[in-house]
Amino acid sequence: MAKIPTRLATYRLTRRTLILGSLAAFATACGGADTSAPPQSSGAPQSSSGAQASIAPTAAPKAGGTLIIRQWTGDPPDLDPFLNVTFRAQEFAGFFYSRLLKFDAGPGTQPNSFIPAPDLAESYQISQDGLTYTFKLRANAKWQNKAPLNGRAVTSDDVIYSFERFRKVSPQKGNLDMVKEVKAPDPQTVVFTLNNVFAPFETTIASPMLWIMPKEVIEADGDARKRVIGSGPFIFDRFEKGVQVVAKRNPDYYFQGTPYVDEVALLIVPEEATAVAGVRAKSIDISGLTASDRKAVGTSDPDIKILEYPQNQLYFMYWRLEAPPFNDVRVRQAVSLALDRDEIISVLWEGTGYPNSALPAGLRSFYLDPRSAAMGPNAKYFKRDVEGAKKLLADAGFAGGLKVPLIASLNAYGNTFNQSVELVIKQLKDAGITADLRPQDYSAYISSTFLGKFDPGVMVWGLETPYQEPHDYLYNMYHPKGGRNHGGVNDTKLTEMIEKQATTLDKAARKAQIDDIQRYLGEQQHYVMGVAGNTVIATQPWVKNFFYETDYGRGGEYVPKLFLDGKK
Amino acid sequence: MQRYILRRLLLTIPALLGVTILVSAMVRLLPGDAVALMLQEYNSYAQDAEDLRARLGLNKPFHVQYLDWIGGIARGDLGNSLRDQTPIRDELATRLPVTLELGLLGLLISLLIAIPLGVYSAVRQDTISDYLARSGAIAMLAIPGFWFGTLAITLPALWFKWTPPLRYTRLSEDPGKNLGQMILPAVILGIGLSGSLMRLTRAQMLEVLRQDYIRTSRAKGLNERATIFRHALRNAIIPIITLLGLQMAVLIGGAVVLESIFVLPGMGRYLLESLNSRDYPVVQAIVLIFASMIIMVNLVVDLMYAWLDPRIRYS
Repeated sequence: MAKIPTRLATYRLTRRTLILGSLAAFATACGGADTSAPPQSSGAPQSSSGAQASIAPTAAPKAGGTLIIRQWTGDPPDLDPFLNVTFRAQEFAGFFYSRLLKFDAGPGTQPNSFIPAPDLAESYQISQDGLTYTFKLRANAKWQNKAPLNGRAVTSDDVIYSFERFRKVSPQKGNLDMVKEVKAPDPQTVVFTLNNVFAPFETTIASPMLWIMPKEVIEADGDARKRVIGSGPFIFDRFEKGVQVVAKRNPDYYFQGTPYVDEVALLIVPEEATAVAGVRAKSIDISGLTASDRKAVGTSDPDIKILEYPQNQLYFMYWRLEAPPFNDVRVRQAVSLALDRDEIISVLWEGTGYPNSALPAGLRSFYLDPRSAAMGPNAKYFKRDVEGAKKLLADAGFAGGLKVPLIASLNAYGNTFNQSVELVIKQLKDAGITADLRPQDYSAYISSTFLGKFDPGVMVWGLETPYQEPHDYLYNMYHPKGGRNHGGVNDTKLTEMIEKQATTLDKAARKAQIDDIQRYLGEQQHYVMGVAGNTVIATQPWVKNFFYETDYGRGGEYVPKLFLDGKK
Repeated sequence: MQRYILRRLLLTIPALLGVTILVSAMVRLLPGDAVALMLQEYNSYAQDAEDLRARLGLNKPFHVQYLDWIGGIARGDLGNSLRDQTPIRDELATRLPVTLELGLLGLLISLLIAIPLGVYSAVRQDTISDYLARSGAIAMLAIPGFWFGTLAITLPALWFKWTPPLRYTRLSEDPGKNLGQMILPAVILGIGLSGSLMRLTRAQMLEVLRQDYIRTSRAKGLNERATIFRHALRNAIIPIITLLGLQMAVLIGGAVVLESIFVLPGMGRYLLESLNSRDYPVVQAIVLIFASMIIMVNLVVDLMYAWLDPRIRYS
């Protein structure tokens, strides 16, 4: 497996000093206390633990201050996270609402590990047959002290109400189709019974999706758009459209003592240049950066800390598989052999990047480095071999080369993606594949091409939706019933493999099955995978106890745990 | 005069109706729709998409959607956003003042730059100062606002660790702080407008300064300042005012870009976000308001002719 470092670094000019600086900075950064680490789940046969490797604190957390995060490039389109599926609505909800489980964040947990950990549920148990999940709610969980909730306890009825509303109104309701019924035997206990064994159920419950919503508010207002009252770490203060969302500390939060900051301002900054300027001018405490901005900011402002971790993102080539030429595996393999993944990493990500298998490098717990020995003989398809590509094409009847239209949406994913399109076209050309670029407007792309509505014989270079579970990638992209089966994959053997891993509760056995799927797809190349770079996050030096996990759930994951020390 | 104003106002009705039909049709001709974009982040379920489309009224024929919307406009209801279902009127009430403030400041700054520079350049024709001023005007015309804006926010951050505040404060809350946020984008907007204004001012002044009545005023011993500003400039100003009216569209285009760079919650950003999300009613409402503003400003410009030049009469 590829070595995937996560660097919390004070940027230096040279790679050597960067590495040395990274180690020192990481040791320092890990020094903050994590007093809000959730308790372990109780002794269930296969329950997940919220505990992480601990590192001795060097400084006590300081309470107070306003944390300023560059959160979005545009407004959250809806304040009711059940009525809109966009990431902005879910990220917004993370600050104010609870989930039964969340993803663990803390020292020792790598970003994007997606380890389910207790949130509103203090513990949970899974029955031996894997069909029943019993969640015990925290006794000290209260709704925020605003009318009409007025700080009453959160009970199992609230969970059932939220679940039923989710299944009724959310466009994502299909994600919980595996749930047969939910019962509340007592105010502190919720029991989910599944129709069939579903191994990723914990991750599904931890995903920023099934928020525990306020019944009284929704019954009075019809939805949760006008009033935002949850049981999460922050109390909604105001939403200034186009400017910011302001959240205040919830003093009654069930992880006692947190959040440490008094206030969080979630800025809406559309332009990257403005965000970079805000970081440099110290007016933004936390912001994502592009790879090129990382270098510039790291050079000009060495006190700014840079966190890097592999992107949970798939750049990939797809096509319709039912018709020539891409119904021939040799043509697909030739495309993969034509790609120079090292060049893409060098040009687009300053030399730090990872070849993706069927899963992105960012999904670190399940990712199989496609060029490693673990990939087996199919690793060869992920290494550039122009002559090999030409031979495969000739064997497939395209000795004179192949001329194919290439669709790409160039007004959606930013400069890095657009540069990748140029590079891929150049690399394909070397192997005798002439890609005739057909740029497509994003809204047309997302509502047609991305859904598989395009002509056979056309290549598409695109980006996949980021998921938190390998099942979501595999099922959605490769299962005949998958919602992202762009190419119409209908591979009986693969379908069986995907369905089998979804019902395998033993984590090691499931990991082995998912490895097998990646190896199989390495040969089949139903889609040809590109590379991923690093996600880069800049933080000011006074931001302490910063243990990144995910963007979507950050409001309830790492933000309550961090504190400000020395901010003027 | 009153009949003229009334006639012009009545003529705006078919013009605006034409604008609404054109915009409503064009925004729907764009590929993709609001529902597809709303469902893009997660799995899209065909049935959910259809439900959502029906709930938002997007499954109705175009003419029904248009008539529903225009009927609402006639009743003073701009409708709701497809994305968040909030009344567009409320949203515009908070965003319009931001864009108006930016636009007026930009206009003021452009006048402060262009008129003195144009007059100076004309009076000093074919001198080094004139050449420099004309070169400056060409640069102002040529430099795109987004580039200037990006530099204006990047360089001070790099050199002085300073940016204008990124958390917008309303004029009513703290005028000083508000001005601190507005001044930089307003200057950039003003510079962008002033290039063409300066060149027109110069050209008009050169023409007027060669007129007999200017020679006469000088021969009568009137001082040069009075000759230039009271007689020459006033006679040169009518085409400049006309250009100002026409610049409204440029002003709006500039605001769209600068509001994004300087994080100002104005109409420009609202339009851009709504276009990207295919929020048809919002796009239609904003374009309708912009079109109304352009028409009204040009009407005011026409009426100003009579005030500036007593020979012009509307009857």
